[in-house]
Formats: sequence, structure tokens, C-alpha cells
Amino acid sequence: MGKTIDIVLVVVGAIACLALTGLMPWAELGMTGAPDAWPLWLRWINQNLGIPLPSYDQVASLSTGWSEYLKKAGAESSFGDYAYSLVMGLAMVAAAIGIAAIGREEAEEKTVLPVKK
Amino acid sequence: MYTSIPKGLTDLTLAIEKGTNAVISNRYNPFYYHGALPQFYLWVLFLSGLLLFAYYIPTIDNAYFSANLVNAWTSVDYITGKLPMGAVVRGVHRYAGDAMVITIVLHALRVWVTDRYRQYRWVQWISGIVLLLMVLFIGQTGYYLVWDERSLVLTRMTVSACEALPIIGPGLKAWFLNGSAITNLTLSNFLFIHIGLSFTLLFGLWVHYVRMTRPVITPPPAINYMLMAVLLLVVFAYPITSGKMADINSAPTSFDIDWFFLFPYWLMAKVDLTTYWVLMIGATVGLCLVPLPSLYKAAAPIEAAEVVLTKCVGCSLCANDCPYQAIEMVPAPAGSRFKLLATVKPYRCSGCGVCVGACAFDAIDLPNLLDSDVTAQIRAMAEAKPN
Amino acid sequence: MSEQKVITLICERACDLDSVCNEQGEVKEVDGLHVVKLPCSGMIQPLMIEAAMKAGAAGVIVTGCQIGDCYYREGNRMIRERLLGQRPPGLKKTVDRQRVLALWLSRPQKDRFLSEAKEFVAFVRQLPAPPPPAAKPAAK
Repeated sequence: MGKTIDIVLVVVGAIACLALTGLMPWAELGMTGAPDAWPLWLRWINQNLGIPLPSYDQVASLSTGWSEYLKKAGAESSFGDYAYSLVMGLAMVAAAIGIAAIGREEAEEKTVLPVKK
Repeated sequence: MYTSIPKGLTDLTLAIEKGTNAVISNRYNPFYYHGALPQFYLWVLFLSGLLLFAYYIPTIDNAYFSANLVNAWTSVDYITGKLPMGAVVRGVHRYAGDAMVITIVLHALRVWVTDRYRQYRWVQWISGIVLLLMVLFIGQTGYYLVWDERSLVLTRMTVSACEALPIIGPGLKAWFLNGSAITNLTLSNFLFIHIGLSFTLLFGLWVHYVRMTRPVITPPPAINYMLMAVLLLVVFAYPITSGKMADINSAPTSFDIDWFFLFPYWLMAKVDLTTYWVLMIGATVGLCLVPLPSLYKAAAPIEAAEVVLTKCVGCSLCANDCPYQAIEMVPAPAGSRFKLLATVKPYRCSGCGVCVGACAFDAIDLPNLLDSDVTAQIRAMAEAKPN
Repeated sequence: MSEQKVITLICERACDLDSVCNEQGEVKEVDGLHVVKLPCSGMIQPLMIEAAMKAGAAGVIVTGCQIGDCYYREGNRMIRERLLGQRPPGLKKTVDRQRVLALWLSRPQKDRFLSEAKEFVAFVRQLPAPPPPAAKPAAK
């Protein structure tokens, strides 16, 4: 019973952590996945070696919402950095849940000594 | 046991901790790492502070607000606005300080609620108060360093508070300002206090830990992740903003208050300076007196463990297990069959009896509860005929 | 055999049994369950458990505070490790491990103690009698 929950928590934590980590470059680029925003060397790799850059179309709507919130909260610039902080914080929460689920033992209120043969 | 604390409060704490154990297991229960939480935030502060230090310029030049101005405020502005991740690092530094104060207060509260602050623990209680005062002052100097209008008000308020003290007042003011007026040297001094005192914390922490065997100073990784995540989320939720650059010729009067560090200034604005000092010093002395034995009629005096010299074989098991470093292994007197002999430092002993449990030779005893008596009681109970 | 005694060695800060014990330290609800209070569960010597068994007790219940919480910092963790044989001094091989139970209960957890203790007392009393003290214990 407890073990199933733990496994579910580990899987959920790991997936959430990976997904949020995937958002970090997007945040660092200023909450945009536009090709021009990527650093030169990545664009070079993309053009010459054909390795595709990830697309962030699906999360584009987050950008406006978060920027508006930050503007209202008083931040003047580097919204992407704040977004990075948020995404990293959420990723760490997910990681903590996963790690705790791996390392957690049943709450021990009772120790039965192992019987030696 | 627990007699000086309201019973319901202790029971409530224990019940909450038990509930937490049931959900996240004893190993990850933050209540069992309450002392390690501020220690973790201290490392975060050191690291983020190092990054800020690399770009911070401790001067107050404001040469009529000319272009290309370089001073403390513009360097902080540069860190926040231009430096990649600068805003985040600054936010982490600020909120880690707040978090440290919160966790220190929680630590002190739990220690008080569970009655773990007096008798042989007085060194930890007193050094803890000194550490808290140091942390508060370090945090306040951090608010002077950004050199916005709030910094100016705070500096002036501190100066007037210093001046109000008899005898040491003028000297304190000169030390604080590093001269007789606010100059570039003042900010250098603030930076020195901010960083120098932070490292002095490590000495204070040594005193705080010195009587502990195996002090718990590192939470497990999952808790560390959560502690750091909280900071990052708050950095996003409440972005750091600077006030206007300080102008020495102006006299700003109001500012936003950070309740974790700046509450003394709130008090200073409400009452006159004599009352302020009486209250502050009184509160500190009052806190220091909390573990005073005469306040607890019910507290039983501790009788330190005693070594049975004829039985001790010098195996060091008790010295290893003693939670308060109260047992020292000394060379055995000449003629002994053994190399070492256990000795008890009575002023450190808590009378807990862990050494009795550690001894396989009946060679250490609590004077008020001999293990031979306990064993006899057990035998008598086990052999008694049913009534 | 139902009258065999069971001894509880308990930390005075762990679950509070004062209300369920009579003056002689016997739990009222469970016949033959005696309680010995110590300042900390860390004070319990494995020798004490052996002494209880030798004197004819059917079993021993060791009770300390919740693991992680100890007024004296590490006492309950240490007796736990001693019982499990991870920290010297440990229990002698001759002690029947089935007859020792360790409970880690905070002060308000009286009911949990009683239910566990009842179960344990019933369990150890139906165990086959231990070999007489003089006889060599089963090898291995």
C-alpha cells in the first residue's frame, strides 16, 4: 500500500521535475522560444548539423501572464530570470517529493527484532 | 519533566510531529532538523553573498546625479537590472536572510516548548540569543548597503540611537559611521560589518555546537531542496525592488519595513530613545534569564553520572555515546590493567543515563537511579507471584 | 502460563502511562504487565532485558519517544540500534528475539501503547516455554 504510493510519487516527481527542467532554457531566453533568442553556437549547431532546437509554442501563453504578474509586482526587467527562478523552484519541489519518496521508510513506531535462526 | 511548559503546548507539538512522521516519515520530518534549517540558509547566504560581493561597490558618491555614476546604489541597480540572474541572486540573498530569522525563531520556540533549553543546555540558549542578535544586526547592515532612501533613514536612526547611549554613545557613533559623518568610509564600514560579522557567526556557532556530540547541522537532501525551492518561489512571487537612490542632502522620512529585520526601527519610531534602549536591552536580558534555575521550582537537580573506578575497562563506549561530550577518556592510573579510564565532567552531564545503557560492565551509574536497583526491581517484578 | 509477567522499560518522557498504572507500576488493564520508568530509553542496558528474561518474564517491551525526537538527543536511536545489534553492547544470542518488542511513542500515544502491549502480551504467553536457565540454549 505504502509502497505503491511511493512509486507513484517517485514517477510523478521525476516527470514533473524533467518537464520543468525543460522549461528552464525557455525562461532563461526571456520566456521565448524564438529562434533568434538562442545563443549563436546553438543556432550554428542547428543550422549546420541539423539538430533541432526545442519548440516552446505550447507554453507561449504563460509568458504574457507571468510578465504581467511580475510587472504588477514591481519587477522592472529580466522577467526571464524571475521565470527561471519560478520554474527551478517548482522543479526542486518535484525533485524533493521524488527523493523523499525513494528514501522514505514507513513511519516507525514499532520495532520487531529480527529472529536469528 | 516538561513541568515548566504548559502541558497542552508540548502535547500539541508532539502530536503535530507524530502526524508529520506518519506522512513523510521520521527521516524527513523537518521538526527533527529544526536547528539545521537556519544553518542551511546560512550557507545559501554565504554563497549568494559572495556573488553579490563581486559586483558591489561600497561608495555613496552621488555627484549631483551625473551620468555614469558609480556608487553602491547604482552597483546594486546594475546587479538587479543588467547582470544575468542578478535579480534572482539578490532576491535569494534577501529572502534567505528572512528565512533564516524565521527558522531561528521556530528553532528557539521548539526548544522552549519541548523544555530543551535549561540546566546543562544554558550555553546553547545564551549563545543562541547572541547568534540571533548578530544575525539581526547583519541583516540590518544589509539594508544599509543598498543605499536607497530607506538605507539613509535607517543609518540616521541608528546614529541617533547610538548617540542616546551614555558614555559609549559618541564612540559607538564614530565606529558605526567610521568617522563623524556619512561618507564613503561609512559604506566600507557597513560592508566590513556585514561580511566580517557573518564570518564571526561561525565562531558563535562553534560555541553553540561545542557541547554536542554529533550535532545535527545538515538536513537531508530532500529537505534542502524544499528549503531552496521556497526561496526561489518567493523570489518570483515578490520581486525585489530598490527604493530611490539616497541623497545625503534630502531627509526622507518613511519607508517599507521588513518585519523580520527592521522591527527595532519600527519600535524606535514609536517610542523615545531611552524607552527604546530599555526595552531592547530588557528583552535581551529577559531572554537570557529564561533558563535561570530559580524560575523552575519543579526542575529536579541533575546528579551527574559516576564511574565505578574498579569496574571501568576503558572501552570508550560511554564516551562515544554520550550526547553532550560529558565523558572524557583519560589515561588510566599506573598499575591499572587497562589503558584508559572514563571520567565524567559533571557540569556537562544531563543525567540521562545513555552511558549506563552503553556500558556492558556496570561501570557507570546515575547516583539517583543505580542500574543495580533497576535490575533488582525488574527481577522482583518478573518473579512476583500473581496476586 | 497466562500469569507470566511482561516487563515494560519505558522512558519517562515517552507515552504517559501514569493514568493507567497502579502504584506498584502495574498496568491495570493488562494483568501482569509491569512498568519500569527510566529517565531515557537510552539508559536501558541489554543486560536489563536479559535479567528480566532470566527472572522468568515472558517478554520485555522497550518504549522510547518517536525516533528522531529524544529529550537527550539520541537515546532512543541508540537503544534501537543496540536491540538490532548495530551498536555495542548488544543483546546476548541466548535472548529470544521474539520476546522483545520496541515501541516508539510520543507522550500522548497511550492508547497505541495499550493496544500493542495487549497483543504482545498475548503473543509471548502462548509461545512455548523457554528452555530452563541451566540447559544449554539451542545452538546457532
